[in-house]
Amino acid sequence: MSFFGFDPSKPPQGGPSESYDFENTYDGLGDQLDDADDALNDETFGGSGDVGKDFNFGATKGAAPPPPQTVSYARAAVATDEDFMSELWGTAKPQPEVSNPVSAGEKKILSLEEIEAQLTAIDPSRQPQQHPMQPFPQQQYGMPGMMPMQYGYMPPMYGGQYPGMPPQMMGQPGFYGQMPPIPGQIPGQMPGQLPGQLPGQPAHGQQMPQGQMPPQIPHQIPQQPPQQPPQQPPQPVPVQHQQPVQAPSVETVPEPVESVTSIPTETVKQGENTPAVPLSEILAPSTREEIAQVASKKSSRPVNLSQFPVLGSKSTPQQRSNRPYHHQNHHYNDEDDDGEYHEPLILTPEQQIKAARRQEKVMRIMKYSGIMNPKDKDFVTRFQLSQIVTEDPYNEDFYAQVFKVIHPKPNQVGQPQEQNNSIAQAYLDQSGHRLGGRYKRADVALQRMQQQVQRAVTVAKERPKLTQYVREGALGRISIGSGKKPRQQLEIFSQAVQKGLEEEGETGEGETDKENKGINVKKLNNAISNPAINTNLDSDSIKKYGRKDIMGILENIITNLMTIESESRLSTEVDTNNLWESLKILEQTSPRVNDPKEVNPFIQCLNHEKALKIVSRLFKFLSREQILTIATLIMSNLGNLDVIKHGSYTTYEDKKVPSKYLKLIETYSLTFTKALMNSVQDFKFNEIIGLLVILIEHNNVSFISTTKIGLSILTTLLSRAELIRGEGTISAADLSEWSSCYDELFTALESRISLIFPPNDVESIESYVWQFLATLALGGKLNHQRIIVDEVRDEIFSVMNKAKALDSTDINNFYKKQNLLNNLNMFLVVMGLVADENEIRELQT
Amino acid sequence: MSSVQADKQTEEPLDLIRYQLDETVLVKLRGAREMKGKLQGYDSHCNMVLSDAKEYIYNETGEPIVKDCEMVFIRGDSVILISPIS
Amino acid sequence: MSEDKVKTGPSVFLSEILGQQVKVKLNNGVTYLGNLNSIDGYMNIVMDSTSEHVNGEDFVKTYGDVFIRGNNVLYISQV
Repeated sequence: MSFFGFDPSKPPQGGPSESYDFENTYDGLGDQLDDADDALNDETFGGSGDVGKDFNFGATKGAAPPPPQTVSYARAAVATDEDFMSELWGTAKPQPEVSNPVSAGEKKILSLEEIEAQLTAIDPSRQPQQHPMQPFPQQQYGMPGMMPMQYGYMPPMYGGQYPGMPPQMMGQPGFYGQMPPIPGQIPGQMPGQLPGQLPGQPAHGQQMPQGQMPPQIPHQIPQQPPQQPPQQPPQPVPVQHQQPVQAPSVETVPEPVESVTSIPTETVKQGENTPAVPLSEILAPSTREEIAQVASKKSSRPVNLSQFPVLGSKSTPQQRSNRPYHHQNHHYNDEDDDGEYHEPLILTPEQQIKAARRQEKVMRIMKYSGIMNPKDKDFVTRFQLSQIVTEDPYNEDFYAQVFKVIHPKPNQVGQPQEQNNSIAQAYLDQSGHRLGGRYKRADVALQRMQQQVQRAVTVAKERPKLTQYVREGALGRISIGSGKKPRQQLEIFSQAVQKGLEEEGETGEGETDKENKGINVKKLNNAISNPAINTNLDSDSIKKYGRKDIMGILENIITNLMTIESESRLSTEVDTNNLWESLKILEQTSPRVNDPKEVNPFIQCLNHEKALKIVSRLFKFLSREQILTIATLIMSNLGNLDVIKHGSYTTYEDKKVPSKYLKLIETYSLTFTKALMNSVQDFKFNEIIGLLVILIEHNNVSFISTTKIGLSILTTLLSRAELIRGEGTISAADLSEWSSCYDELFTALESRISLIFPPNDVESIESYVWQFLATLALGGKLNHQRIIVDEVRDEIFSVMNKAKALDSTDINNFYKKQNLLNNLNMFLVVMGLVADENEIRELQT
Repeated sequence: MSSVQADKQTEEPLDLIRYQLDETVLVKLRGAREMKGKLQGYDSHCNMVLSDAKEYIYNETGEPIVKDCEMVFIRGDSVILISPIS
Repeated sequence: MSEDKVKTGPSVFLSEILGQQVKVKLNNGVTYLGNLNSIDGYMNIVMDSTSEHVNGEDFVKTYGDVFIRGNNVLYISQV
């Protein structure tokens, strides 16, 4: 953690004096922090008037004016902060700062007047007895690192962004406030993403040793909301640069001032002897406000800024030992205060000296107050949390990484300006990305699926892996399927396509004739448990639906739907029987037909765009059971859908799906897939299994997996099942059914997984493929995952090569590259791997 | 198109037009013209509204003149024939 | 046309030939051959598997389904 104290303005290579020892610099304060909850908030922030407070923001006794509302942007940022946090940490994460009155936003950025109010509101009665003079211990410099740390990371950002800006401006308070939109956006948005982007940035990607990539990123990527709503640009904070005027105004305040800190002296002493606790551990559970407060308090200590580079070194022992201990932690104790605030009383020379010292401290406070807005604090908190859970803090430490970039090793020195630019660019690209980069808007339905997959990935990663094996062992299910269901090696066409190829005259397949006439959906559902049940009907009863018939049925459905919609506007009770009847779901449900015209009419309707357009409207008026029935029908008849039948590149000479069907497929993803996604949320675990089983039994899974819609449907079902499984409320019987279902699916796909990649994907937007692979790998065991990786190895490397080939100086290519790698990593992360354009590494957790 | 009709009952010619709602149709018009477009609406006089339409005007020289029209109303009395385009 | 049909009225005839192969001649001289699907009082006609003939036997074009507006119809005959 020594880099907390680094000074970015210093030249890169420091002597021995630059190695800060945490033991030496830590003041032990963290031991006293009550991390568990907000127990000390009131004392710290003066939330309640009666607690044994040491200071009071409310300025109840002071004559100071109420703080001006200079921080409305902070308030504006609060909501998104919390959204963001809950995204990151899951909904269960408590948000203590929500209830904290101080966190409401008004006081976070201290204005001049606020500082005054603080100074004047402090109760003078208690401090003198509590703070006898003490020798100044050396462990005093841990915390001030907080302050330079902010500088350590901020200036390179802005330096990169505003190259023309004179460097000294960065150090000035108010600088960030004057940069209207940037400070509010970037710090809050970058965590978790920027580090992931760094490797993709060649400029400093080469600067960083490979092992230094922050490995936690891939965990976070799936958790990022793909589209963060644009942030309100924060308003500038106007007052900060007034600090020089602070001094006179303080002197006019008549109220005595006491210590700002809330930490009791006894515990402070104890802290001196306590072995060092990692800084992050102290800070992590505390609220953003606490951190900010601590930071600003610490930075207000009478430490000469020029000494920061040598903090922790032995070079200034004298100076430190001269100082009374309490000066370090209690800036405004009585000895200081007497000098200034009891001016009407006696003012000894000693007091004057102290007053001067005090003056200096106040200036320091002012200098750093208001630097961090809520998003900054949020960022710091999150970063510190991540430090707790890592084994290699340097590696995962953003600041350390940035420090390395800013201060490269001598043999790697490049153009510093360039490096700064690259950081800033990565930063901005990321925010741009989440603000709805062009690649994110593409496909709403797919995006939703992506979210579901990502959630499934997250849930699965949180689940302990072992239980799976244990349970399986207990049930005696180790491997299933491949024995009784040998692989089909060659059959790639769906039955419907084969029918088309074989020409209509062929009647030799007696088996199909017998097996399938008109299965009732009830029986179709039974088929989940007993696929042998079939009803033989006289083949004369099979109807053939011509195009006109289908169009008629479809128009009838639409008319009924519109009738019901208009009825539903008048009354809550509508009769949907007519509508249901008109769907003709239960007619000729068998997927195995000799003639495409014999396929169930509703399935045939789904080949027409106007049917797809009404699907979601339709589902609104159907019961869960009815929708499940429809889903069952569709799963069994997937191969009869045009988007599947004609949607596989494998059936075309040039390995390209004709544009006519591409359009239909597009419509499908926007309508039907979306509606299915929604309804699948209502399905129970065994129903999902049932749908999958039906799908597997009635279709050539391998063929279906070569179509976009087929793959999307598989992904939807699998990821939903994974999510339910992640909830952990599944019975053992269901689980064993699930694993046998998965095995069957996997057996059907095995050895042909690489075929799911369309060969002519010029756009390289194949995220749905990687989503599917991620979901598939999620549900599988280690051996499954090995097989998958083995089969798609070429594709993995080809994506990496594609990414590498893209010149990321072009902003569009940069997006493309990130997109490629993000898609790939969605899959790799499931197996604990992560890739950049150069290599694949173990994901370090 | 020899299909066993599912419901043969009360089907009348205008139903064919109804079925084509929101689908592309070819309309043959008097004066050696044709129109292709998505059928948005119609009435019993065969007045029609087509969207994303293309008008083909034929003459003796062979190649028709093609005109694009985003939305067009066709008065029924000039209609000769209507046919779905799949 | 057979002798039986001679005595039948137009509407009887029209209802009898539903589903049969018919030839429809229009005022402009174009002939359509196809399967008569439906017909109404305006003599609007729907046919399927239709072929279009201009100037007698010259084969021009085929349609799947075809709707012919009744005012254009010169005659309908059974093939």
